[in-house]
Amino acid sequence: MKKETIEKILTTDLRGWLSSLNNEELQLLQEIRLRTNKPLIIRIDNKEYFLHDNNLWKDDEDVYIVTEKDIKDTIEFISNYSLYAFEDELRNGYITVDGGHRVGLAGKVIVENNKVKTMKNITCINIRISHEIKGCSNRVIPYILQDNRILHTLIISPPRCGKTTLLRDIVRQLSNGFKSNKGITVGVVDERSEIGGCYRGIPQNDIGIRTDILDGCPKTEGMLMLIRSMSPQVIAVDEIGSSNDIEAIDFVINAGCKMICTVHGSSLVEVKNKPILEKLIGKNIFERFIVLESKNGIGDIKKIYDKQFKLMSIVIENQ
Amino acid sequence: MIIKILGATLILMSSSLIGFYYSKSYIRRSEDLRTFKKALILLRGEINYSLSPMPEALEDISKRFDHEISDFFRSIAEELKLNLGKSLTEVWKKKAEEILKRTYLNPIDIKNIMIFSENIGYLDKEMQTNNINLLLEQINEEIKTSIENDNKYNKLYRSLGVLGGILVIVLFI
Repeated sequence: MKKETIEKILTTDLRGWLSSLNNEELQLLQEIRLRTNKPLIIRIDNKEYFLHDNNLWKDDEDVYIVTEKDIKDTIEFISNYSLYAFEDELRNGYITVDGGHRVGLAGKVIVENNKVKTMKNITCINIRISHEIKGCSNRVIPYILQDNRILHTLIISPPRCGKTTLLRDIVRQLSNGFKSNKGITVGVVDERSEIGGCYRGIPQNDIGIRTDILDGCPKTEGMLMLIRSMSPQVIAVDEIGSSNDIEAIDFVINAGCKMICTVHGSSLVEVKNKPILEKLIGKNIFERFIVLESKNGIGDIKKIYDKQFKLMSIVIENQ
Repeated sequence: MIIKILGATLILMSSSLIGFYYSKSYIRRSEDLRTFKKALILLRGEINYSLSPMPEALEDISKRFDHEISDFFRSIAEELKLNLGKSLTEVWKKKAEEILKRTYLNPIDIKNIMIFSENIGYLDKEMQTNNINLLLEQINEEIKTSIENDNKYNKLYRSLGVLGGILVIVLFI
């Protein structure tokens, strides 16, 4: 399934190597990067590979060079032959394709009235393979779910430490029910189509059976919309940060919903000192803080703090 | 003698039929052009208002009418869905050559339609609309000349058919 969705957006010249991957390698496939007149780079399990005669190659000598036509065709496949249908997405610089993969694009940006109008001459494509790690929240959930009561939680993590993956798995487990706890209704506002990886509104990742998802919706409005329309018990959002977000979170909490959200940052102290988040944390709303760190693998260390910022536990995943 | 008369009538009939057939060709071409124009207007709507991706838009349009042109649209959509790694322009051109030859469109029309495909699906909505409008303009002009030609040559072909038949008969007798 995953293989087909990736194959679909690559040109025929670039498809061959995919079939030589075994299932495990396919699971660890992270990125495929195309840049005009530069070698094709494939990232598997944090290691870089090049392409040589349809085989993965470690040195960068005599390897496959991406042509202008490769890029043009790939864009056609990514956009389903209809780039015009993705004007808004182009402005943000990425398109989500079938299978939930995120395709980042870079090229010449056209600006009108100080706003990005569109992008032309796309020369760099980064296909980020969506991967869900089911069960990565197993050891964290007991800290945020106590006696059928969910605690307001903030996940703090630097980029590429797996915060979205963790959030997705938490949503899935809360929604399906975790061990003896019953499943509950979860509302997800997925502004950047990362949590659900929606394609035409249908989540491609498993986010549970009691989850309602608003795809591509701005967080602030989305949270209010969900409360009015879907009466969720928990609302999950990714990457909060603006002062509007904080107001919306206030509203959600006053409406009696539980909040689970993520934020960029490397430590609790750093996040506490961010001007906007300071306000939110100062109110003592969040009852659990989970700080992610990477040592041997992505997000393998999770530090959990309680309401008083006291370290409760350090979870180290054995990989 | 009877055989001679029979032969003469056969020649006269077939030559006039050929004449009639050719006299109709302009009208048939303008009808096909109109159908194509209708399809293009639908495509413009699909792009502008519902932002449907090209394969879906083409398939939806092909369901709205019954004609070789709807076969043309459908077969493009079907081939695109196979994900063979071909570009829209390639598929469009191939199908135009295969299927539009069966219609009354002439080689110039087919060439225009093929050139049109080089800019389709690419860039933004505005660009798509402009591209479609350009082809519509060309088609309108072709319809106009086709009707003018019909007025000019319609009678000519018919009389040419009948008279040609008579000429052959006279020569043989």
